[in-house]
Amino acid sequence: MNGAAFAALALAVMLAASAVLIGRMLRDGNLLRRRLAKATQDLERLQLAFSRFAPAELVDELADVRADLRAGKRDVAVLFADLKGFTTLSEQLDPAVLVDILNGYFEAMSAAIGARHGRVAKFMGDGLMALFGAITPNPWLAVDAVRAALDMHAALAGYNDSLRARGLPALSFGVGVHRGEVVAGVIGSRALMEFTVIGDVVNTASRVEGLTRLHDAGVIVTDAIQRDLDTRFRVRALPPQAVKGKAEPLRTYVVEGFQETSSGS
Amino acid sequence: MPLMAGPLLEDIRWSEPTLPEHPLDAALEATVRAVFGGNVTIPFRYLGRVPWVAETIRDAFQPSWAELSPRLTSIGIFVVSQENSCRYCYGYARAALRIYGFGDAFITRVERDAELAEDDPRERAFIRFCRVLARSNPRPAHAERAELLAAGFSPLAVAETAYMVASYCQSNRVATLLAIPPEAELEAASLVERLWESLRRALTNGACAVPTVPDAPYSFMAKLLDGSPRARILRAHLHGAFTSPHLPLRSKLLIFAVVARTLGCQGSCAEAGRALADAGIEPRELERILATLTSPRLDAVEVGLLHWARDTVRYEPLEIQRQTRELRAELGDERLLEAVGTAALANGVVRLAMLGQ
Repeated sequence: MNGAAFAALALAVMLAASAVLIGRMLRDGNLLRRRLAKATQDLERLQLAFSRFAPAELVDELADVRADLRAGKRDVAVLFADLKGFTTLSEQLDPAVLVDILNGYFEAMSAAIGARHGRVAKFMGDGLMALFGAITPNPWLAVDAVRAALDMHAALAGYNDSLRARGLPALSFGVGVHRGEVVAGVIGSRALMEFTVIGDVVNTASRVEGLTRLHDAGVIVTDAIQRDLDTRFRVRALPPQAVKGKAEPLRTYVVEGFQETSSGS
Repeated sequence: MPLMAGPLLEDIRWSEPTLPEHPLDAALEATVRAVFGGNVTIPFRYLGRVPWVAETIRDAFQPSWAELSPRLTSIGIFVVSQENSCRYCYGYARAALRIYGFGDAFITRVERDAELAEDDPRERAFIRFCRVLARSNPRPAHAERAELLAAGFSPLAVAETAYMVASYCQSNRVATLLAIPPEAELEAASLVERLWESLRRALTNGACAVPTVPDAPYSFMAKLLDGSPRARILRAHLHGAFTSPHLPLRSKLLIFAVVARTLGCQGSCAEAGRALADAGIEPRELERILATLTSPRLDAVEVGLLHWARDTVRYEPLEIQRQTRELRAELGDERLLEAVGTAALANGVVRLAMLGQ
């Protein structure tokens, strides 16, 4: 083989080897990109799944371990709802049926709350706590919370029709609503965190919900809520009520209904 | 504190268009083609009924900025559109970034608000400001402005950035409320097609003149943009909105008042109050209306408009599109489009007002 032929052969071998190397680099690069994309997709699916357990706006903060998770003070309305007589019912029904009934109930209540700019913060057995104004400021949080409470009763009436049609017992519940400043934020351990609120406002709202049994009322609200309700709401004052943990009796009101005003021009 | 970005493009759920198509008149179409490099992009097929709304969308893309570079405004619309979950604008802006030569790696990093440590600190501060102002939860104020100044932006550049975010928040809402279909061809463009589009835009993109107009409510806000050509554009948009005949002036001012109340901007509320007093609604009555979003003085359609306007501030696209379709049944096409334009403009203007805080 002469020199020119040898040079041409060497060049061809080098070009072929280069092509193989470049091809391998591109393939490895594509593989890395695909793996990164899959890891990103997995993280996003995790975030989506997690959003079922926490308000969506906060899922991103929880996923980002560098995020500042300091809590803040917020003016919120807190709504508690609890089923009446559900413990007795739970002893009578098959567990699968019980869970099915509860899930349908929570679905209906969550929709009613969400439609009025509220968020269910937690489910506690057969009870729930919802918040208004906790994640984004809400100038109408008192009206929204009370209208949500009334809508929840209307939604329950519809749900009860479907339960009866299935030969299942109807549900009944009471709703209590209070308003005030709370500490809101993501709270818990590294293994389990939740978005929640802390403060006397929460305890009071829970106590007010408890009063619905005493007074056989559907919706009871405190003074702090009532003062923001306009004349479209039909309210009835209750006698001041001593409440555990409070020095002063609590002034509360039954909300009996809502009538939209007739509009003029 | 690091911010996480809004939803990804494929996560945004979107409905069918709210309105049927209606072409622009020839003169307006010519100005749109001048700004968009000879094209009439998809949104304009739906805006012909109410010209001032079409003009606000056109002018958001005019290249006339005193200090903001095309690179920054391209990144800005991308970030803001993602924050506002606008499927149309986000997809368009993403495609535009690729046309302008931004790499996929950079686009992905911005999209996921991933660590941008290796990128320009000015751009990092700019992106953060865009996200914070677009979200307005809480409303940004002195600290966020100071961060941009510290990053090397001049006061005029900060003002233009705030206006840029405001105008894209406005455009995003027009596109979202009307469920404008995505620019599928542009989004799927091949490398060759993107190169051709890039060359075509470089050779043909231009601007169109915006007239000098009398004062209208909120016109004083143009002073925040002194030294920028956007001041004249803002005044023209406000004049167009408040003098258009489809909705009563009172209804439009109430939309502004509700958006201002939702965003917690007292100054913007006060301006609406001043103008409404001239229109026969005294401050006490306005306060009652804002507290309850109803009044015996308002008809049922106007009451519905107020509740809908509140929900244009923060929304899930499918839900607000459903509400907007319901409103269309009450208002009809022209009045609905005017309502959409007004609510969108209000969302922009009230966000811009943070400059004055």
